[in-house]
Amino acid sequence: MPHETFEGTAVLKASRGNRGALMLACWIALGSCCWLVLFPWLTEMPAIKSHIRRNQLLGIDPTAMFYTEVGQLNGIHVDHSGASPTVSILPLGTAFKPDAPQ
Amino acid sequence: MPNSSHPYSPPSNPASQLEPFPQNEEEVTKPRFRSIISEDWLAIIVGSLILVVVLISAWLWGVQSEKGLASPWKAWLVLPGEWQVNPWTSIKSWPHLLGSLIVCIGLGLIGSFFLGRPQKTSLLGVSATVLLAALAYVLSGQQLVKYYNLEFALWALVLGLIISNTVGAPGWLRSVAMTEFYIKTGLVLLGAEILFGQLLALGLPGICVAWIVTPIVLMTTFWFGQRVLKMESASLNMVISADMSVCGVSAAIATAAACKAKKEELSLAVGLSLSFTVVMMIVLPAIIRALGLSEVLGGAWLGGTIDSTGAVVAAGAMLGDTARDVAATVKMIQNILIGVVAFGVAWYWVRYQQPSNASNNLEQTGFGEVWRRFPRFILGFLGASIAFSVLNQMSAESDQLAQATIAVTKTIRGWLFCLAFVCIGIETNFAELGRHMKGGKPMILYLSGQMLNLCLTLLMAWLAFEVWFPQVTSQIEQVTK
Repeated sequence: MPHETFEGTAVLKASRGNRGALMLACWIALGSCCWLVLFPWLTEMPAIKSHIRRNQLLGIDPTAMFYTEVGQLNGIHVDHSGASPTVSILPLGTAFKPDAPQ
Repeated sequence: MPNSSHPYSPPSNPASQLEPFPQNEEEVTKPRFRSIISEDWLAIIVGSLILVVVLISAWLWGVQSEKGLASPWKAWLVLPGEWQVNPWTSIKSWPHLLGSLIVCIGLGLIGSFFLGRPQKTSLLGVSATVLLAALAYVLSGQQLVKYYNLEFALWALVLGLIISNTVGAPGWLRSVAMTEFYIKTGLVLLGAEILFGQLLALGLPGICVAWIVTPIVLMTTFWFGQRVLKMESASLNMVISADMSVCGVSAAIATAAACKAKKEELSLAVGLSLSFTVVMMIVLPAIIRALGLSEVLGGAWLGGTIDSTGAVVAAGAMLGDTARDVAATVKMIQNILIGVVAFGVAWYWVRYQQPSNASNNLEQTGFGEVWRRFPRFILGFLGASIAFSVLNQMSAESDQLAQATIAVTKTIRGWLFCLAFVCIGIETNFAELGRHMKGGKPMILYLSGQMLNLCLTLLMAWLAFEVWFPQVTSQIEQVTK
């Protein structure tokens, strides 16, 4: 019966739509609990808090994807052009110039 | 019920409207849009224009301060900040954030116009995508999430996946899911940050640890995946091998674009990389302490093995200032190797991996055929890298100009990658992701490759810093104390 089949399909789609909306609501509730309650509580734990403070003081962004995002950190520059290698501080993200005075 | 009149609906007879050689099922069912220009060329043009505009504005209207030259755009292109309890604090500088959102919407509309996406709903779709990207940044800004290096890419992907796998992404949103445009434009901007002069920063020990070990691990892991594990997808194998051996998410994005990997493959590689980064950034410093390794050796080991750049620095800081500085330098060299790796992978792929339409005989793939199939955006990526490397080396003034430009374009690049991951989530379903994990081969590949990486990097770092160049090690310790 085509009419019944159409109605059946419509009911099935509506039920899927409701289930999807319910699932979305569950995800939003779960996410809100994690980000607004659980994570802030865990952040206050002394062991984690001290690590976070240290990163903040040193200006480290642990989520940096590339070296240009890590902040004002130092790297190492090793120069082999002399008789023996010399080491100096290389501010990250700035120019490395072999001939420039270090 | 799919509406056949909607531009996103698959054509009734897809095969008749497709370009000559659809390579997989996804390509057959994917809707086709009449683009004015290819994604690769559009990415090169848009990326180059952004770089030129930002560079010229820094040159003409840049503000000189103690910290150097600052672009006038810098204050108006920002990311949501860090927060602990109240997420609103991350967007307290909302007028500046609004600048970023407007630029992202503008870029999305340009992409949507030139790539032939339906214009009636594009503003709505692009705006929704940009808001989801902003939400992903806010989620990644929570202090605990940030501390564990669970970066925006993961949350952008998760948000897109949740929408597409619950209520389903509406047609107006899916029609502006321009993943490749965002990724390729972002990669052209990333090219400007790849300054080849810094490849030599750590001298000979750096060459040993980063230049030698990284390509060996990459090639061996890829070979292992193809020949021993017999991975079904060579591109998934390559993306996992690159993100594990080079530098995590950024390397995964670059190689995925270079070898034309599927979106689900990039998602999987990024998920694997971030999961193991969380574990390694906590476990490795403890192992280094337990083994009693020096800070220089420990830092070099961390820099060469932990995938994510930020996590390397954070893990190095757990050991001390010396370890942090050495780790950051080794990782910076690996970051810059992305340029070489992406070019090499693109060349290898068109030469040996893609079956030719004209002939399946690989030996007949000549230079012309390789050029025809070569992903053009790589040219923009390398061009930006060469141009900015030259600026970096020319003079102190030109270097300042380059740094002021990069300080702005890295934010735009971050937004573009975030938008790309939202789009990947929107276009992916959980079942498809699960299919790629079948048999656990990607996990075995990652673990095997990482074990090799850990052993080889430790051996090479020990040889370089303790056996061959002990004088360099002692000088590093003096300078950084």
